Amino acid sequence: MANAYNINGETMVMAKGGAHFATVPGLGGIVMSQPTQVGLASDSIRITPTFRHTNVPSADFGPAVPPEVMFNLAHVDISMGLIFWDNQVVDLCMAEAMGGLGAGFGAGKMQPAGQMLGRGRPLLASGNSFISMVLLSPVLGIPWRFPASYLTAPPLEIPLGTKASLIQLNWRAIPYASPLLSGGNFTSGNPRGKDVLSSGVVLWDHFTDD
Amino acid sequence: MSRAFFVNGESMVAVKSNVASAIPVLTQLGLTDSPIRITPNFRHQDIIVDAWGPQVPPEIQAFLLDVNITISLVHFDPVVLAVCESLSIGGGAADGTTPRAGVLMGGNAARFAVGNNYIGLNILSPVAGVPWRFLYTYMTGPPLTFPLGTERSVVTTNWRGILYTNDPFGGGTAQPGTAAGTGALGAVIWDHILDT
Repeated sequence: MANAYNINGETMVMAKGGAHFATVPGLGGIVMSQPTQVGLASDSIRITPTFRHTNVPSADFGPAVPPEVMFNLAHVDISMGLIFWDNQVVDLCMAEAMGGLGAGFGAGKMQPAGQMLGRGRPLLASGNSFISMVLLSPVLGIPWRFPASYLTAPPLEIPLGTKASLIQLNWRAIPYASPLLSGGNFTSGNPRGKDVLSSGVVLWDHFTDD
Repeated sequence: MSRAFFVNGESMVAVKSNVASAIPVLTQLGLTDSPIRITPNFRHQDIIVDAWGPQVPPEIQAFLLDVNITISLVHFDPVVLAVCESLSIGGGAADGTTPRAGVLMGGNAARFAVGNNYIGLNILSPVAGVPWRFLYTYMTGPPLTFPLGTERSVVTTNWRGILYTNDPFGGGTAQPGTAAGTGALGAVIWDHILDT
């Protein structure tokens, strides 16, 4: 691909949640187990990966500059200010980020302290509260998908007044993995059973959900 | 079409708004004492590339437009003008009465639907035969000046036409020429077909 101006286009934010959205009551008809529009931003959406590197020092190179660096995974922050948005969908995303939308729990009502978002289940399975967040790319044709993301707070700001509310959202995407998902139990013949393996876990890709 | 002197003719201004308003059908507003002035505001933004220095862009992006229409009314219907003023402040219940602060002018509604306070501004063209229709306009204030005295009043009005839509992602009922996912592609700010 040659050098060009990269114009993403009308960047609609989409969210897809776990299969539990098909059965949890009180959602106003929104089935967020399917790709659902969250909204449009008032300005550019910003994707900020944080790469984690660790120096591998060697005395021969002195204490400050390493001869080698180790990669220790990454996470991504995605910040946006939505101006044309679905407040019910944002409410559901907030509920998921607060530990999950179980029966009788909506945004604002607590899940138990220490609740895991993934609960050891596959992404998009019932009970997994991570959200697959997609940024559409109608002009450039390179969407961004973050399969395991959640809203962080702060920064999460909801202004209320006579002006159209510009809601500030920040999503964090991680390379979700669970030892419960690794195939098989640990045995002498299966020494990697129930291990947590980072290799091959997807932090982001350029597909859309369906 | 060949070159010629362009003479628009007796440029009657006519307006139409939502079905619940006092101008649900095309209604004459009035005639002017001087030419009506249409001023499109094209929006462009430079793309600065360091290789071309900090000031002159090698490429520019086009970011739609809005349009100003300046009309000085001298032979007009003051009742229709008052209706336009009320609609332009968000749909006040009566002349001089305001709606709640922050009301959306389009009300998430299609053109001429209840809640959509935009005005269709039509300028007739009896000689040239090229009328202008601005689909979504409102009166700005200022400049809006209503002189009162013994002389005939020449009311200075300024209208702003925008690309209103009830879905900026495309496909909104207010802009039927657009499609979901294509944004403003196909949206209409003006055309040359009169309202009825």
